Amino acid sequence: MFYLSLIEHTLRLPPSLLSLPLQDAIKKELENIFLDKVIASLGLCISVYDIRKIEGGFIFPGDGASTYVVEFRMVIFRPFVGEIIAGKLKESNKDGLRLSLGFFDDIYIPAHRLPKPSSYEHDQENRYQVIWTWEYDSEDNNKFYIDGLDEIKFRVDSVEYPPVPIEQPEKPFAPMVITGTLDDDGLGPVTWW
Amino acid sequence: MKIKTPNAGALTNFEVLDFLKARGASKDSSRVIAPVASSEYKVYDYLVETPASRQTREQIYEFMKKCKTYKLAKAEILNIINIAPRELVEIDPDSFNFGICFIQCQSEPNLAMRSGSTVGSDIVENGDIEHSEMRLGDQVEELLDLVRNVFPLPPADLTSEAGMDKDREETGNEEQNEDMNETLDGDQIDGDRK
Repeated sequence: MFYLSLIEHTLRLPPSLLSLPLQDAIKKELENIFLDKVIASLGLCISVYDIRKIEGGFIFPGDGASTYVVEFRMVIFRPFVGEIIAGKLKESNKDGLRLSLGFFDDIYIPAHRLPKPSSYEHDQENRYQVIWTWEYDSEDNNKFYIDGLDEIKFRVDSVEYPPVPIEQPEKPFAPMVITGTLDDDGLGPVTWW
Repeated sequence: MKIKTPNAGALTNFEVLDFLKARGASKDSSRVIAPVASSEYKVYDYLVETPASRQTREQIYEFMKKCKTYKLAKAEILNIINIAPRELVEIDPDSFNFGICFIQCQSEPNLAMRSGSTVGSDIVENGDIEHSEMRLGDQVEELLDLVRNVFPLPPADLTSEAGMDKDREETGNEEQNEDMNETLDGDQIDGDRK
């Protein structure tokens, strides 16, 4: 789920941070820039792990701040294809499910990747939500519901990084989308097994 | 910005949790004071609910040493450590997706994997362990026992697991809740399919 990545970045240290020791100031600035952001084809940046090298410290003419070239390692969240992760149900509609990990919300299980056969019925309480049911057998007493109560284990099918759109779409843009499947043994809500 | 090494080593959930704890993350009210960002706290909250919160470094080293006999790929070891399966749910050799799908794993951090190994190259396409039946056969049970021994459950969970195992052997027990009944049926049917 988590990887370390070695990144080199040229950053400008704003003068407001000059009172701190250099390492702390650079770490703060790196966190401001990278934390909770997605780097394309790398993943979601979780945390600055350590700083390996600090070079530079030049002050460009006309600028009040110094510029450093920093080499550091960062903890990146990037699940690999085939990894099994447990998440909570965020919403469920007729296209499938959407799961959340707390720190990452764009996990989609499309309808055709649910265990077969499955069906859905509209939820009485929420207007646009549906409740998915896995009909394990044709008998009525073998229906398994996907309710929002327990954790749902899924396997990662793919991780995509859609390009940033030029115009603002209606839905908020998701820079990293994980598509998963529930269609295998042991996957699905934990209480099913 | 230049990415020098996209993959400088995989981390187990335990390692990330340990790293966040070392920075000062915790569950109680000292949240505001600790130098941990709110987005990092979200990761901490998620990891604390996984088996990784109950693991220790020694457990992981031990597991890494002992699982060498099974010749698992790095990604498979990572999966096992992160999920810490306790039961063998299913081995389904007929479906397109091979693999043992473990439930309730307790994994330990992959400190040994951090020495520059590329987990990405061992990508497990399907399930926790690929072609498990072909490769491991009877050893699957042994591997499961190894996982159970190296990553023991805390006492509270042990009693509930013992209760669950007992219930499974009884059939048609009215006191079982619906979930237990479903599990029992699922197991029986899977047994027939095998």
